[in-house]
Amino acid sequence: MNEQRENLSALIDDYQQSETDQSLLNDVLGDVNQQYTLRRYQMIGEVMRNETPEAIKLDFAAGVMSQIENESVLQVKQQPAIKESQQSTWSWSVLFKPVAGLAVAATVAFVAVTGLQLQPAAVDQAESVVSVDDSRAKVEFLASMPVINRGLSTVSVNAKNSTSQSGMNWKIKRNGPEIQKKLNTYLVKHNEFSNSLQGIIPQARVVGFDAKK
Amino acid sequence: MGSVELDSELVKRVQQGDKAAFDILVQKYQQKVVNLISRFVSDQSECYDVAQETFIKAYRALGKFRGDSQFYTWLYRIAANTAKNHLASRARKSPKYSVDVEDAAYFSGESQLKDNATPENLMLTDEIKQTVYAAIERLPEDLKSAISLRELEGLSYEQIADVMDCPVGTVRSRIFRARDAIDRELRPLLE
Repeated sequence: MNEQRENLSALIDDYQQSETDQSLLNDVLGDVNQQYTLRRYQMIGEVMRNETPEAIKLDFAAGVMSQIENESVLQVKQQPAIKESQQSTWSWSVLFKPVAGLAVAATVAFVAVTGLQLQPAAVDQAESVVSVDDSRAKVEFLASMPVINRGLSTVSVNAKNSTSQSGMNWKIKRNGPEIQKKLNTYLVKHNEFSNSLQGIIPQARVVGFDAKK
Repeated sequence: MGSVELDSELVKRVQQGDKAAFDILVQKYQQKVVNLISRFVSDQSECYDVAQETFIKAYRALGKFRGDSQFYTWLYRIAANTAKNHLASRARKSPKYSVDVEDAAYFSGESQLKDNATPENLMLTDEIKQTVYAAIERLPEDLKSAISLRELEGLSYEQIADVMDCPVGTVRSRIFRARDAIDRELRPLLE
């Protein structure tokens, strides 16, 4: 009995003991009297260090334990076993997002650039009505717009008077003032729109107006 | 098994559903936690309330405790946060008691209204302290030195052995005998 209490005394002093620690702990957990002894040993130290309050709350631990008495038995939350398919989904989702974003951006950029480069040829073949030559004032007006200026340097289009033969191009009546007006309006609006999306669209919108630049 | 290992073992057992292990952790750290909280909350009765809340929160969160930090460090953080939250919520609330102007001079605060600081409890606490001090005074010098070096100076058994120039086993025995002698006088008060 003395030996058991001596082990308790050493236990609260962090003194490295033998492998009997586990069994000692089991004994303490299963024996209320040993728990009381442990508590009194601790209290002696607290009194000596003058750590005790004005009024010791002897039933403090009991109060805590009664509060958690109705709590469900605490279990370590195990990580649910991740199935292979879930692992695969997880890794794909992690990898997919940046790659997909990059792919979308690259595709849009590619379409924009190649579209711009191919369009002059298409326009050459077709008969575009959009005549820049005939509307110098319009070009000057558009060229004076800051965003358009920025895009002009990157695009070179030799637009000719032509009409589109392909379904992809607009069929526009030659030199129609209404059409030109609409185009101007469109380009102005388009320019406004482009300001909110930096990068690709500002280059696309200047096609057809760079020939005289 | 050092304190850290003991705590880890107790935590592991609590996580396995052994509530008695948590009781030991509460008993081990209750005074440290109350002392910490008292730095934030001046009212002693409130300190105990906050300390109780701290342990309940700790119990509920113990399932997520992975042992990355020491248990006491982790508990310390919970205690500090609970105390700060308590102060914040108290600041938002209106005073619990209304005292007439005529009675204000005799009103010494709500701590007196709580059951912890009852005259019986105050007297018992005082008696416990006197008993411990008296028992220490009656200890033989070697036992008194051993337990004083341990409890007051915080020396390890090896350091005490160096100071007292004796084997570590003797230190262990002296400290135990000192505690046991004090405990014999303390036990009747607490039964």
